[in-house]
Amino acid sequence: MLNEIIFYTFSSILICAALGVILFRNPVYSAVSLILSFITSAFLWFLLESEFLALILILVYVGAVMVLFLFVIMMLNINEQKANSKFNTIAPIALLIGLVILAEMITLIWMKSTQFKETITIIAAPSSENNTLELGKLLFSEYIYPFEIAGFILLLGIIISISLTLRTKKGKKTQIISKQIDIDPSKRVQLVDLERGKN
Amino acid sequence: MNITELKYLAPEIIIASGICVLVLIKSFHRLRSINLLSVLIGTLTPLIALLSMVFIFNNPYEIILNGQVVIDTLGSGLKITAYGLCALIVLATNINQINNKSELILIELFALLGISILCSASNLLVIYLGLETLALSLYGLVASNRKSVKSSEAAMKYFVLGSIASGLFLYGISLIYGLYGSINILDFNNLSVDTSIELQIAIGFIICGIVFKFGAFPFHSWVPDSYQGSTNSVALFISTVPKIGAFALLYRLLIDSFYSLSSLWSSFLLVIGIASLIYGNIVALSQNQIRRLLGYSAIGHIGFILIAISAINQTAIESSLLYLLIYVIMTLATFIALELLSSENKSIDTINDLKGLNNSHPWVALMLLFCMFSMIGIPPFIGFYAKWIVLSTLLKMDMIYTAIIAIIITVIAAYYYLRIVWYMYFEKSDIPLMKDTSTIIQKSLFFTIGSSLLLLGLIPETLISLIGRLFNQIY
Repeated sequence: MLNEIIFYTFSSILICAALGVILFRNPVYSAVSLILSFITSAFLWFLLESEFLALILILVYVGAVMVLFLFVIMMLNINEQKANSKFNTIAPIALLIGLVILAEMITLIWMKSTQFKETITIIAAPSSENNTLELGKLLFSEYIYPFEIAGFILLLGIIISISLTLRTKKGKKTQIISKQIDIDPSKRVQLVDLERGKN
Repeated sequence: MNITELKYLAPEIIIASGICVLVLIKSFHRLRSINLLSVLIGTLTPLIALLSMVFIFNNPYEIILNGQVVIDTLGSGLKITAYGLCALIVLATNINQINNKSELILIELFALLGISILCSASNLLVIYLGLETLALSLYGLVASNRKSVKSSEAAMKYFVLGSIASGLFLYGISLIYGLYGSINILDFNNLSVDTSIELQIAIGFIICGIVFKFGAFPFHSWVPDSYQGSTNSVALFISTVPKIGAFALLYRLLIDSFYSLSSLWSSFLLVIGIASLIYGNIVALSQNQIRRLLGYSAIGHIGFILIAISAINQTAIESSLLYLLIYVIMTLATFIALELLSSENKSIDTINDLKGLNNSHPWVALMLLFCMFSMIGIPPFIGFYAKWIVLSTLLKMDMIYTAIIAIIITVIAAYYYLRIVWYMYFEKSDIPLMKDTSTIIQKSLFFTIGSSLLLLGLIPETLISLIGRLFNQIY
């Protein structure tokens, strides 16, 4: 009973937030309501007792992706009026696509649900099990090969983005670290005895 | 996972460690000999990986890592080809300021890693990861010529289209997971012919992903742009090695897993093949930019390969692989010629740059003539056998109309290849070609590959029997 109350509360907040994303006139408000919708969907993951996915959703999407979004909005300084005028022209097409997707979902889930060979019911894991621990064990045993490949893809992304954006000017003056470390302190600082009154 | 299974992953591990070593060495960017060192590692890594294949090659069939990786002779053969090609390309690439700065060799090794993952993947997740490794490194390669606006534009287009294709491919995978509850492609071997609409849509999406990687008709638009936008060194790589990865992808997904549904996907491939054959060759007629022309001609050649696969039986798949290998050799020789002739200041871009090549570089002109004749399919050259085998397979399978279309288009295509020959031999150049700065290794490589077009054409049985051996142990 409590589960249902929590579920319906958060999913209604989620739907409102999702509507807010497209209905707010100020793009910053839209971005913030997108953050709200991510957080509420993370709560829905918590309800399924998959706390790892929930935390990752908050960390990656809210912590990294949405901050980037907000930065872009701030830097581009998007004009409010422009955003409004476009919405009206796109709205009928978007509505049409939305209706098509809705119809597809209804046919697949409601009318054809008997045709699926196996229905997989999501079983809540026993509460004693640590979700993150289990995922980690799987990643480092059964799925070690894809996991390592994913690591290399990330390395590739880092290398490409650095090599595409790094610009070194000709004749740029930088420190030579090895020389800096090699310096002898006795040569650097000269201690001079000064007699009082002279000099 | 068993620790002894790791020996089957030896080539991948070697390439991955080569990449790590190269990354570490690149950090000493003040080192004087860094250029030479990176070429050395870029050549040695694929060669060592190739040597390590010797121990694996004798194992006929092995499924390791809980069915995520499959080791068979075809995958190993494709890997060996890719490694050899990559080593050749690294050796043949000009070493100059642009190529050194952009970490070209490093990204090429990443692409090789992706191909080698694709060649032996037997799990949709691993296939997707291999595909992404390959695709990401290709985006990086195309964008690597930062000074040119064309290059950035081509890379942007390629990136957007590639993301859409990956999205479609992933959607297909997710539909298949939804239908069968498995991502292991060996589970799909014994599917009964099931014509449910969901499965058709899923296979359609997966074919979209494959066709994009090949660069065939409906998803072709990135090919000419990215060839034109990139430098000759990059075009040399992206026109050859990724095609092997694309073939591996097609083989693993359609023939290895959904073979029982071949009636579903073969007609898709036939239509796509004919369309790209016609489109690529017709549009190439009016091109003046030489890499763009070769890009359109690549679309036409890919059409041949797809048509050959669509006549599903063993000889058809063999002939398509043969066509692919011969196409790769021809393209390699052509692009190495362009790479040889261009120096840091002057790069060969349009057909006009080839005017009077016979006077300044008679031997390079002769080898380019070999390449062009081989691409047309004139008898003593190896390109003739490629076309002949595909056409004879089509005739055996009673696909006469397809064969007729292919022959007519081949005759039309001869025009633009012969035009290049005309420019090289019978046109006077306005500006004499610069003295090239190529090394002796590049020259000797080029003449070996160029003359092999003729030599292999005289003894085509060796190549044909080699490919036959790859398939013998499968069927």
